[in-house]
Amino acid sequence: MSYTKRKRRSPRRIVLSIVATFVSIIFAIPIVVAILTSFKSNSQVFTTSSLSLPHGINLSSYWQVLTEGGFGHFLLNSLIVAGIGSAVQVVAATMAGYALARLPFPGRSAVFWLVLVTLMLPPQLLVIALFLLVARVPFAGGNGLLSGGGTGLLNSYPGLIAPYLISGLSVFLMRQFFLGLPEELADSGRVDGCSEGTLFVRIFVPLIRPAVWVVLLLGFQSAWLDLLWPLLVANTPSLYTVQVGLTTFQQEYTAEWPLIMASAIISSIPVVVIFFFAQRRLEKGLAFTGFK
Amino acid sequence: MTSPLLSSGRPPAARAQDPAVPAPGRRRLGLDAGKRRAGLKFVAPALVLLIILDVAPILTELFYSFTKFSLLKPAHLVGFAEYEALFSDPVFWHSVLRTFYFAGVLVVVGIAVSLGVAVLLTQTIIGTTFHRIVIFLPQTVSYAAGALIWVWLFNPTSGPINTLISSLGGPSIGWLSSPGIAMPSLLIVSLWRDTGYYMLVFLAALANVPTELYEAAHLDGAGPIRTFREVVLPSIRPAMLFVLLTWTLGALQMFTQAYVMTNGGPGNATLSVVLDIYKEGFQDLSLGYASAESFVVFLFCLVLSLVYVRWFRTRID
Repeated sequence: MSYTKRKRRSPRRIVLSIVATFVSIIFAIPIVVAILTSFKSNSQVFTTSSLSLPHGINLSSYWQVLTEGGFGHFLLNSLIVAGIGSAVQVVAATMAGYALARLPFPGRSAVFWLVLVTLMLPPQLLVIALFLLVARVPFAGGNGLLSGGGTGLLNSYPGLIAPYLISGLSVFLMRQFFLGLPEELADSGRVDGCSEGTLFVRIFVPLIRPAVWVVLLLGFQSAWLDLLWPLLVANTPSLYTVQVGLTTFQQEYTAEWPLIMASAIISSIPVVVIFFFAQRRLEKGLAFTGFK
Repeated sequence: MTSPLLSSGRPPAARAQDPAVPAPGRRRLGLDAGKRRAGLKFVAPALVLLIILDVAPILTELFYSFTKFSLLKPAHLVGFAEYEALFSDPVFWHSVLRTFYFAGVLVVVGIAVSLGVAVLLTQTIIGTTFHRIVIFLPQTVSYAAGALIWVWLFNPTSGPINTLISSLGGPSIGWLSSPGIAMPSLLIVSLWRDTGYYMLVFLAALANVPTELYEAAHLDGAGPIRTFREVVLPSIRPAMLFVLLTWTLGALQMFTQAYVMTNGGPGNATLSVVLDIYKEGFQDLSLGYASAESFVVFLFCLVLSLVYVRWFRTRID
């Protein structure tokens, strides 16, 4: 296979390159069509071919999506929700992963089993109970200590963020990463009289950084993509995440394809930017975690 | 993204230094007490969050599954009544079958495509980095945005696909409106969106297959197909389990594509279980029923995960 040194212009290389190009084109076409459509006017969409170039770059759809559509605000909400959720998740998971891998404490195996069970818990199947619990949070949204009747944390940022604050998968992954580091690393520090906290921050976290990035990105991505939970919890447009914004925008502007395509593209730009900057870290992280 | 469920043990070096095994000497014992206190402190935030956000909800859901509850009236216990209603409801079984169909086809075809593309990109070809970026690109588009893009592509009268087909003299296809085609259409969207990520996972796994194994296979006179079956597949088994598990569980929870593109139609043809739960719980306000439905599906996912893990373990040993 790939180890054999072949001639640069072997027929095999050319055939495989053509196949790969064909695959790439298939994956790229929907995005290309969406971008082309977003630059057209509504009448142009129905009179010209979908793969034809627009008459110049017309950004009016983007402008309309951001101003009338309110997508600037939706994007900000999504960044807040996914940002805070994944940040808390990665800090809690890194600490717990370290403890589960490196620090013997009473009840460690019980905690580990809990992590394994929650790992297999599909989040979309918890929405009903989470909804009922969030609605009953004491002293919020008109609730008393035990009496419900109010709305609790429904329709609030804390309620929106709650499900993304932890995931069993993150804890599990961080534990696996810490297990891969040699224990002797800590010994020199212990001899020098460092506390466990100092050891963790000064020695282990820097070594595990590529994995931290992978877990952070996974957490961010899953919170960013979620539609079901914000659909249930956010009832006012000021709290809509970008995914909820997309679905309501679609219902409002049926068949105005340039607008809808522009909304789909605008909603993806932050993720493209994040992957662009995180790409090297992500690749390092994947190589680090490596599926050995 | 390591090989989560497979690496049952720790590396030998770490095992020899297992912190759980007390070393002799007073100094060590003092250190271990410190470790114990630190361990509890370090695990506390995650543990509290897991209990509040995972354990409490699943117990709550179990409780409400034994009640009749509509948000408007207080819940009252009805025993297994909601489960009986659920199991005798043809719509529930229909949504289960449609979800199995979706997940089964997506995972089988998806693994074939993403692994195929990953193997293709490890060959000596022109522009591997470019292809990798392009195939990964749909991953930056959310399910909702991707669904919207494809609603336009699939548009029956003026959408690009049907325009192309009719210019070639073909018939107009109801991609999202005919019951037999709507689910395959949703599968195309999901496959387009998900492949890039799993391709990356497979690429990372393929990069770790030792070159000597290929050389040995080559010396043995193994062709490409035998090399793939006997060298590549066994070497990437942990990655395969990861992909199989995450993709299956993700597909079984499909909601966004159906909600945005078809709302479960036409005639419930694309009604996924999670969409059915959403409709039962938050449109019909049958929260007890929807809780029972969630709990049943949760148990199924749990069993399926355990079967996968076991199956892979026995095949490794």
